[in-house]
Amino acid sequence: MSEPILEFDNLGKTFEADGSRVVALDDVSLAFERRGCHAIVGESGSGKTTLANLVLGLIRPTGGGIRFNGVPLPGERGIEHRRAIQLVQQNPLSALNPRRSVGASVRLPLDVHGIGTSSERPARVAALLEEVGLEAAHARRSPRGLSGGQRQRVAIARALACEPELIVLDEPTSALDVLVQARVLQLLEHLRRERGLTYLFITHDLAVVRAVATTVSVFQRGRLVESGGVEEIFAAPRNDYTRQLIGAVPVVTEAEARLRETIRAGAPPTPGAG
Amino acid sequence: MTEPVLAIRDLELTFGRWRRSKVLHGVSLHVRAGEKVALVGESGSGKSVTARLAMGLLQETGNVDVAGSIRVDGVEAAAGGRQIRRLRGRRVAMIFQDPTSALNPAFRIRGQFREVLRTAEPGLSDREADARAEAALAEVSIPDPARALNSYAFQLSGGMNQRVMIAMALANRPSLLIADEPGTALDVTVQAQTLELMRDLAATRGTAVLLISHNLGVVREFADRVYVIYRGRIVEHARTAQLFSDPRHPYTRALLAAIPKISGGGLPDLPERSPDFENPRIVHEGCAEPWELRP
Repeated sequence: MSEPILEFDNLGKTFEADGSRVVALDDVSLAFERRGCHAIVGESGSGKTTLANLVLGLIRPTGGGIRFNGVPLPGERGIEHRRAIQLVQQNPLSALNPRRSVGASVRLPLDVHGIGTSSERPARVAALLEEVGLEAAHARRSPRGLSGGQRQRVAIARALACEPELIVLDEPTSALDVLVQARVLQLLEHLRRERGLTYLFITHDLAVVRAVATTVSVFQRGRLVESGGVEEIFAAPRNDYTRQLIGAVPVVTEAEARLRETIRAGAPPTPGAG
Repeated sequence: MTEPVLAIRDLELTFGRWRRSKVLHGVSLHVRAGEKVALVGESGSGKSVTARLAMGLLQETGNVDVAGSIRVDGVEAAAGGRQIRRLRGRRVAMIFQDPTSALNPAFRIRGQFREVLRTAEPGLSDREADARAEAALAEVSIPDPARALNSYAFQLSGGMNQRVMIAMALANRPSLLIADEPGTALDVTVQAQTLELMRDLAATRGTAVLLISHNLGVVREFADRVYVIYRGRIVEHARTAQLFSDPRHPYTRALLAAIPKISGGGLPDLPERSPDFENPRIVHEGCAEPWELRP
């Protein structure tokens, strides 16, 4: 295995206020391979958002640490880390400034990080919009005039503008309709392959995890309960909580229903079934 | 056969006076006593406005033009007005997506519960109302009903608020319950509990339940019959087993194909929109509307 892009070493985060303590993340050690789509799953209160905020450098750990490309984070190259690690959020309408045109939103990171010369930047914005399946003409539009799927594409273009290595995707398709979700997930997959990106994919939707992730780490109340390759974990989850989560997914086909029954029962699935 | 508890026939809805936009183009559906029926569609399909029209809520906002008929518990509700308003909270009730924002943050649960009970019985004493509220909360498995009554909504968890809201909706024993994406804002385990409560209700009290949802997986597990709605039109109507084993409308097929599966398989290459999605309605065997049957 090549050097992991991201590592957690006994990572912990405890919030303290008014004498009460909340352990949001407890002693988590994990390593993420480059070019993978790494799913972080759990219900509300599992610590998955805390994890995202730590990786983005928005909050500091209270225990252990994070290494990005082998360098402790946040390091002296703070601005460089910020460029290399980008975020796409659940609700693109609140993530995009409504007073700014789509083009201005995508251009801002180019200006901030001094990417390209200022005369090159409009062409770069147009190319980014086309890369995510929009048109160059969308640059003049307001995010309010776009559909949910188009807005999420704008947010993805803005993240790509920084030429990132790692993108934290925080429930990127949870607010989208299912046909739109399928297109956006396809786009994300395409971009990961084309650009060699690494994703940290935070979600509660295990069916989406099965469809797009390469590895999955399951969190429960701040603890990592299970981690591994997606195929292995969905074939035979070892942890009770993982089984419970997969067992609670509403399914639409007989094959899924059968798999879910086997997982609920906790027995190893018989070869060839499903 | 007795009259359905809810019968919507050729319902059309247009918003606005000057810039008119038509959002329902002749929706028909029915729900009988004890039946669990789902209306499933994506955002903007018209599923929630259909529910709000059936409750007589949308008509009160003005600026809407409604044609067709909605019969709720024997009352004509399409035009809104006093009759349907009097049924609301008593004979018909609704639960919403986000229970915490559906409850008033400025009053304790106790006061809100008394108000609900008094829509059915205006003269109810405080003591009698509280006793009934405690019983109703116990019925939805709230461990300490007296404490819940003394709480504000923000002091309770999402799951608890969901139960409180269901208890309120059920307190007056409605004959029709409309659930608009119940628990979507909550964790899957809480969502499953909510569906379980509604399932019990239909089975034990004969309540007619209309579930409004975008989630076909939830619909498959909950409903007896399903209506699929796309851009203001019902495109497919079937018993649940029929719909999932033999989806026939291009739109339903696209939806089912686009849903990621826990059994794996990649994501299919599907358009977000297609003219085929607007093909005429497909009704499966034995699923005609009561008024469409020849005597």
